[in-house]
Amino acid sequence: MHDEEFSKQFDTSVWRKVFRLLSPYRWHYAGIMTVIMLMAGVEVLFPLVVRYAVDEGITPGRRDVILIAVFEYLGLIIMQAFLVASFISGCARVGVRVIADLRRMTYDRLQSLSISYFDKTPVGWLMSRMFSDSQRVGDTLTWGAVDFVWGAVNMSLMAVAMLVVHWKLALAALSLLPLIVGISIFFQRRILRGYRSVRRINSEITAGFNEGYMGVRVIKSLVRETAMARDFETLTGKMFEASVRSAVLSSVYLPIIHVIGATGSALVIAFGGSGVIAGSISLGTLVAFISYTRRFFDPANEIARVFGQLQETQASAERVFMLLDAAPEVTERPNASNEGRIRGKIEFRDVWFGYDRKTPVLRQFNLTVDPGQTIALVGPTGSGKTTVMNLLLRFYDPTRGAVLIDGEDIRQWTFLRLRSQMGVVLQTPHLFSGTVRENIRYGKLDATDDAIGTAAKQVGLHEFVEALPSGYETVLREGGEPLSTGQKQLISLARAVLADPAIFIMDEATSSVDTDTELRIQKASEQLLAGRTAFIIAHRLSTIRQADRILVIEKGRIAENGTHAELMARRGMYHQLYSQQFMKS
Amino acid sequence: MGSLIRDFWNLTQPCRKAFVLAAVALVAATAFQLVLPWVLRMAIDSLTARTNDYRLIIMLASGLVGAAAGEAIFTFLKGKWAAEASEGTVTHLRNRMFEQMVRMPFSAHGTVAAGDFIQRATSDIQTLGRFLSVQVTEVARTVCLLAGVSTLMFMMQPTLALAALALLPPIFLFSMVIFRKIQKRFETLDETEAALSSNVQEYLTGVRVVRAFAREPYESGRFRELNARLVREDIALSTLHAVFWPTSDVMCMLQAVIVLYLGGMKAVDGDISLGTFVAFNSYVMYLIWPVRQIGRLLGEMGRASVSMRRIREILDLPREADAEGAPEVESKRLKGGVYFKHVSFGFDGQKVLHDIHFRVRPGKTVAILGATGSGKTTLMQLLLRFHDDYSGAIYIDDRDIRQIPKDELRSQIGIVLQEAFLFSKSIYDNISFGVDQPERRLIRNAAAAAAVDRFVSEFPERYRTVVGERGVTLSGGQKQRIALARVLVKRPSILILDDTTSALDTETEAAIWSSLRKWLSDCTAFIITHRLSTAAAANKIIVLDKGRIVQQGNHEELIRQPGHYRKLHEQQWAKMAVLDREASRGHARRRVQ
Ligand SMILES: Nc1ncnc2c1ncn2[C@@H]1O[C@H](COP(=O)(O)OP(=O)(O)OP(=O)(O)O)[C@@H](O)[C@H]1O
Ligand SMILES: Nc1ncnc2c1ncn2[C@@H]1O[C@H](COP(=O)(O)OP(=O)(O)OP(=O)(O)O)[C@@H](O)[C@H]1O
Ligand SMILES: [Mg+2]
Ligand SMILES: [Mg+2]
Repeated sequence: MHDEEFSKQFDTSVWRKVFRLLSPYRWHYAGIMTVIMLMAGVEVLFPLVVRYAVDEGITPGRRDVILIAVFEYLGLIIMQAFLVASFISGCARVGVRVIADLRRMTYDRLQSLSISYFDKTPVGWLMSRMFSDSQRVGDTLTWGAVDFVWGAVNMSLMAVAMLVVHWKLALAALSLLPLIVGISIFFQRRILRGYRSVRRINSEITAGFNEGYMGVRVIKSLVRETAMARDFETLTGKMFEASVRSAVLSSVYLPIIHVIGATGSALVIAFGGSGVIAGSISLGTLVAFISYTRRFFDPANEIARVFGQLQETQASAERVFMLLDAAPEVTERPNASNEGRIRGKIEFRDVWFGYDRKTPVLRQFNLTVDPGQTIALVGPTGSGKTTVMNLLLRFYDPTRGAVLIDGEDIRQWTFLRLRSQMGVVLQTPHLFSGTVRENIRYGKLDATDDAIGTAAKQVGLHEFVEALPSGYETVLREGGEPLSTGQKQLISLARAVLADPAIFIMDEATSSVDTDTELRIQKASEQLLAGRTAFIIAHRLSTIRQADRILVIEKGRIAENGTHAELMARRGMYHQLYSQQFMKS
Repeated sequence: MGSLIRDFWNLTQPCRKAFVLAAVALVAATAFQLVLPWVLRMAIDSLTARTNDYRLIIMLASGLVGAAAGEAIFTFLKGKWAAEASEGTVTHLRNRMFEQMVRMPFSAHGTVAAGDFIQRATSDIQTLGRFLSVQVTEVARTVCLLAGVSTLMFMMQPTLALAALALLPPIFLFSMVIFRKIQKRFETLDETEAALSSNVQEYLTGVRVVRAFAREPYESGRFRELNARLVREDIALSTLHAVFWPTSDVMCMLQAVIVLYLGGMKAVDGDISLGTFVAFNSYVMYLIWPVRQIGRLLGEMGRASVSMRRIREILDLPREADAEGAPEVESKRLKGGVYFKHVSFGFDGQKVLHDIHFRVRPGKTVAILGATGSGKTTLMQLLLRFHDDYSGAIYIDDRDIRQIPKDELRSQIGIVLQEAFLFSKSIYDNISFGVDQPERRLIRNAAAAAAVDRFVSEFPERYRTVVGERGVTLSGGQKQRIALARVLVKRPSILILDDTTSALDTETEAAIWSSLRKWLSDCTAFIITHRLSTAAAANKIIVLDKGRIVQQGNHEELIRQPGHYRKLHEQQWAKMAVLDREASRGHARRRVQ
């Protein structure tokens, strides 16, 4: 959905936005452009100095003229050096800043986008928007524009210089110019198209490595190594062909341009030679012309390259702006309230919700929880338990109805007010790379080591961490490797405990933890849950025994609601689930 | 340096022919290139001599075009062959990296973080490719030019030739020195960039946790700091560039000026012809820019050698050892008898499993219980030969598993991993991932047995539904069931379920068990679970504690002995009994009312 399918047309609105990125640096930019034009001008003077040396110095045999020519030459060189220095540093500064601005803007946008956006968008896609596309836009704005201006000014000034010096010979030399430009554009288009397909395959290769590495356990356990390697070889085979094709294209293009340049020199020699013989053209002029014909190639090439890149850059810019313009589905109201401790009364009022519009997951969901209550959610898998919590966290907003805390719609609150008072254990625990201690501390950034230790003790994690060779300083890789699954769950539980929340949410927080440890956690949790509202989602019914109330969720509705005793007495769904688990043995 | 060259030499092995051809074409192209100024010289000389030979001029002009055409043809050939050679090498290297990735033992995966590995497999290989296709040929071309040009110059005028070459060594040295510096800056810049991108990457994969804890400001602070650091380092680097390019420009042009001046003087004196003067000017240009580049290229070679080292490190990691010297047994379906004989195992010195000893007859179901971190997952990994460095021995059907080729072994053991990982493909593709030619019916049946069809039928796109990365758009239990179906499709002789039903409600679980019994009537099953109800139904229960087997036997036996199992059971029952009493009381009360 996201890739490369963008208009081929030149889109001025995109470019207007691109150039708006420059507005903080517009004076700098103007300065760079002036320097570039001066540079292009100075460049044109060099062959003229040589002509002067030949015609006024060498031919009549005047040493003093040669000396003057040499000093002129030196002067030009030094001037050029200063221009180059200021243009490089100016260009780099502006470019780097524009790129950093874009990165920051995309990051800020990602911060405000809702979870639904991340459900749909692969991480790799976002990464390349933020890094390579931003880079390309910034580079084209600075280096690309500079190359273009330099090429255009340089070429026109050369043409002017030649026409002034000898217009007939100039016309002969310039006759090849359209050809050079035409061929350049022709090839650059194709070369860039080639690069584009190389890049596309390249990102497939990166994705291949990525998924292969992440899923290596699955691959190994299903013995897919050979099959995967074979598929990968097809991919690298395509890569080989595409890159050789585009390399071959460039190695046709450059020599052709060189031959045209040489033809230009040949034309100049042929026409100019007869002129020299006839005495209508000086030798110096001829030499200068030869040198001009060979300098043509560079600017023409630069112009064609930038020209070809424009389409690419436009596509990059469109993708970046698409991300920047993406509207978060869940937003903070401008006058959202930021203050206030949560007491813990929670209400779901006629809530409807679906991840996509067509399939509702929650249907007219109603629930009231008093402060300090512990509520258990049970029910078949896929019935919407996690979804209920997602709504309470405001990861998503209900399509209809409202979620209220302490009688206020949570849409009236800032995210910070809402979430900073919640302690959440998500069903899929995610640990960051870093030490065990850092991971627990994520729940409360200013927690002391003692507090971290206490939290770990409360969830039965402490002993095990102490047994590790480096204890709390054990470094985990992203995702919490190499700990066992239960250990990871305990860390993410400790993280939530440390947060000292008003509302506790535990979504299958101990599903992979043994019952013994679980029991210990339950003992601790009398104290842990005191004065807090808590939601516990569990399939293992022993987990929820301290709940004040049990809700059975089925197909997005509350099917049963009551204490263990009441539900057992009803002999409904809960009774069935319960007896399957405990009566058999 | 020596080892670097050797590494590269070995690397180019598969494409050496193309490399040689490219080198030959390169020399030819350079030769033609050198002809151009020479023709120019003859043309101008004939003009100054006023021989007024018009035919000669036309001839020379066409000679010019001819030489350019010759150069063009060989440059093209060089480009083509060099691309084939370098791309071929790179392709080969990529394939080797991928092979290595899937064939490395698990322990090796632990030593390289994912991001780091991807970096090596992609951008380091690219750096090498660039080195081979651009830098190597550029250096070679410059060397050829240097040899050819200096010979020609000395032929034309020795003193002027000396003067024309005078500044080349300092230019070369200068650019070497600066590029060493630039290189260092580059490396710090690279590191910062890598830090920034892994920061963003982790933010994005953990975005739900970041949001749940309202840590956006904290994350944003870290990002801004790195972003600003990258800007600073980038600017510092460009300052070096801004010093280097104009300074070396001046030096290069100075060299041109020397030729201009001395040549001009000599031309005035009549020591050299005007044509020679012009030719000298061209030849000098041929040299000064490439020499400046070569300093830069040598500087960048450091980069390539770092990349080479990083790739080497991966390729040098061991691959999973296969059954060496195994007697040739034709592969047949395993019956599934398993025997662990005094097995002990640990990760780098830390013992995880101690003296594990048990036997399972074919077709039986074994439940494994035990505390978190007691080594259940590790135990099963040994059976699949994910780790081979244990003491003791493991037998399947009386064959030491170290004598069974890994592929054969694993294709008959189906393990559903504890953390369900799904690929971001369609549900159908995920289920059929394990087989070469997926058979529609088989896949449907496996999906039905794993109770996948129960929920898939409610998705608008059914089996074609594409799941989010790592399965984020599915519920926990849905992921587990797809992972189960994926394994069932293989029809394994030994099935291992590592906590596979932890996210399933008991009803779905029961449905799955009953269909599994049909699906795998003759299959040995290991079931790791924390649910006693699941364990109770097994033929044998093994209770692990801190890596030791503390109890084994069936439910009836274990419930009678005092010990771990009974304690667990009582714990559950005691509490439940209280609740049940309350329940029945409630029931009674309601009846009374
Ligand atoms: N991010 C998402 N995008 C689209 N659909 C989703 C997403 N998350 C969940 N669903 C779908 O919504 C339904 C309810 O999922 P939910 O995660 O709430 O179930 P659950 O009750 O928590 O199940 P489990 O016990 O298996 O965790 C499922 O059919 C699931 O496929
Ligand atoms: N690759 C590894 N390197 C170092 N230690 C490891 C590695 N894998 C596992 N461990 C450690 O070995 C011990 C046993 O881990 P294992 O995954 O087998 O536990 P488990 O019994 O499956 O636990 P759970 O019930 O939580 O899944 C744990 O303490 C774990 O931290
Ligand atoms: Mg869930
Ligand atoms: Mg485990």
